[in-house]
Amino acid sequence: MSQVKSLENRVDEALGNEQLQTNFRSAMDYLIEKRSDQFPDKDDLNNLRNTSSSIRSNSLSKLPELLIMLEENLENNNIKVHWAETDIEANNTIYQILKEANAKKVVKGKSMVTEEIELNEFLDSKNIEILETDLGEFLVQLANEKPSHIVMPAIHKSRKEISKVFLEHFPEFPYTEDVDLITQQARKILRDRFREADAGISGVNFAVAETGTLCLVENEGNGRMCTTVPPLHIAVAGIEKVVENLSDVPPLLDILTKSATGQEITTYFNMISSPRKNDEKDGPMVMHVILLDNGRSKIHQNTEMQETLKCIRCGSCINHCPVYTQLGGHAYGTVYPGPIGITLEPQQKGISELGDLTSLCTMCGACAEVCPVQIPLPKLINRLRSETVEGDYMSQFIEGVGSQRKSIESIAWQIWKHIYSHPTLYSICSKAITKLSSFSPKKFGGWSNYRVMPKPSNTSLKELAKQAGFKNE
Amino acid sequence: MNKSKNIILERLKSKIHDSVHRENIPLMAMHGWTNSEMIQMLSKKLQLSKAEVFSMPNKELINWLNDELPKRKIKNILSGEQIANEIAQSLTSKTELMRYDNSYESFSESLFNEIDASITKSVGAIAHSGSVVLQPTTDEPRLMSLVPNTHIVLVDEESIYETFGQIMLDQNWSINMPSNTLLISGPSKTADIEQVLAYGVHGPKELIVLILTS
Repeated sequence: MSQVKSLENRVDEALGNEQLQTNFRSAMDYLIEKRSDQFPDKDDLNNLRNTSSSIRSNSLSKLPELLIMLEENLENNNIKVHWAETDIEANNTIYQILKEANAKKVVKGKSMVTEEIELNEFLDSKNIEILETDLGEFLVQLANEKPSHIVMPAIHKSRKEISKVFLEHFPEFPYTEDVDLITQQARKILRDRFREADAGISGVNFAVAETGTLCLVENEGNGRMCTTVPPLHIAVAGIEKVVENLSDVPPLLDILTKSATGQEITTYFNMISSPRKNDEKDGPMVMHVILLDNGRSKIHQNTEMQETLKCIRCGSCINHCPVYTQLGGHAYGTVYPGPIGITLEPQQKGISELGDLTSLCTMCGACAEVCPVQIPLPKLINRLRSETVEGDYMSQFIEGVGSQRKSIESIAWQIWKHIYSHPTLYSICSKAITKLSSFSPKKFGGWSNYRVMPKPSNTSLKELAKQAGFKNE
Repeated sequence: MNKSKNIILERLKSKIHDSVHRENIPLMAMHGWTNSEMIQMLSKKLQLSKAEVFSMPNKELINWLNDELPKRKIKNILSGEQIANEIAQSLTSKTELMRYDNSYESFSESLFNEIDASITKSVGAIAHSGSVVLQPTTDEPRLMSLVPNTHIVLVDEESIYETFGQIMLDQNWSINMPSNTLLISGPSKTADIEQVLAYGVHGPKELIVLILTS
């Protein structure tokens, strides 16, 4: 994604937008409460998290074998498999498939991985019409925006804004702010589009190696439309989406829907194992799967950071993140916002470009506590944060390690280290600071631009302790 | 294309991973519910998702259809051959029985614009999550449960399982997965606008589950 404004500017802008913060606060509170209602028993939750985490770890520990098994079984099921190392390769492959099928109109189900490869922009440039069909994604596309949340893409928009966008694009429908009516208008518009489409594109929630089955989770039914109505279906799956056995699916589905939207289960769980067979009457005639790497195999090489790939994209870490709640999704300037975003994106795109994202974390630990597959997000973020300024330990896995090191910051920490490791010097300095506290600046940049700058006390804690009769130490 | 496959696989293989012990997957996590408890749980969960649930003896099905379809202004209903054989004789003239006889391409116009409702079987139901399970066939193709405004689904009381894992295991899905398997847990819905729930966005506006007892 092009980043016209710097991260600091985007953050400033978001922090100045009270309406945005109110919208996100209430949306996040709603999602947090709904999730919590689904897990009344802590022991049950812990068991389910342990199970889910071990299923995902198992997938990652056998990833190459499972991908080969998946490919074999998909091909046995008449589903053509393509491997793409980069986003460009994935887009080109999809374009080639569409071109060969002479497909001009494409409908798409909600899929973060196609956001990641910027498929819409790519197909637009090739004059192929690509339409988002998930209601939230459809609204975001109409407004010419990007999703601000991985599960609820239009969470940043009020119904008034949505009504206006709708009227602008579909003046044949009367203006309404009634959610049911807007939904019915969208149904009418999109049903025709499903029928006219030459191809449907979807993501994948779980790809089952054992049976060659693609699983899709959704509430609306647009995913089923996209994968059933058009004659051609192309599914895009990150290589980490594979699970070994069909029996791995129920626990993952259970914890995914409960964590994501606080639902016992979504309306539809769609398991696709084959295009239309000779004796069947509907379903796509042809199916393709793109197995996308786009940085994942590099992340996989690094034992510590590999846990990033366990993610099942429930968005729970995002919903519980105090920084995300203040900023909303757009300030991140990335496809994946929140804790998982600031962990994944710098690894994919490099620290030189996105290392500063790692500062969007208060280390509160809420994300790790709710993560359904137990990814230690704060630990990973802390590791990345340190990699932005020092060391070359990770340079074989991540681009730009140490690239954000600033000499002035480095010198300041060197001085700090020196003072704190020399007691006499420490004592002189602390005395000087307390005596000269009245000269301390009112503003010191950064945080103090928005808050009252704390003043050093006239008496140090050590002196106070001494006065109170405490002996040294 | 194979070049990318090799690069990806080589990179993945370069790191040797310890094998991971998968926790016992609670496929059989059972409450030991009786059949009537399962019907109760299934109904409760489905109703929470705004599905309608009715339980009736098998032989009452035709009466229910003859009473309810006209009341709901359903003028025609799409069914597969098997169900049609059971109900065609006794269905009143108020409701026309429609058939998905040809391929989708030649049926698309009727399917999207003329059919009011569909009636399908299921391979079972899951009490724990309140889901009906469909495995579409030539007789009952995939879109029957998606396109019509009302979807009526029949569930045999003997085919209700406690959990998703159980039905999968009991019916040996891993040996032979059909083209499409669906868990359906209510009418189509969305909460994408200000988290307000709205029903019938792309799929059926009504899901009616009929639990048939012997």
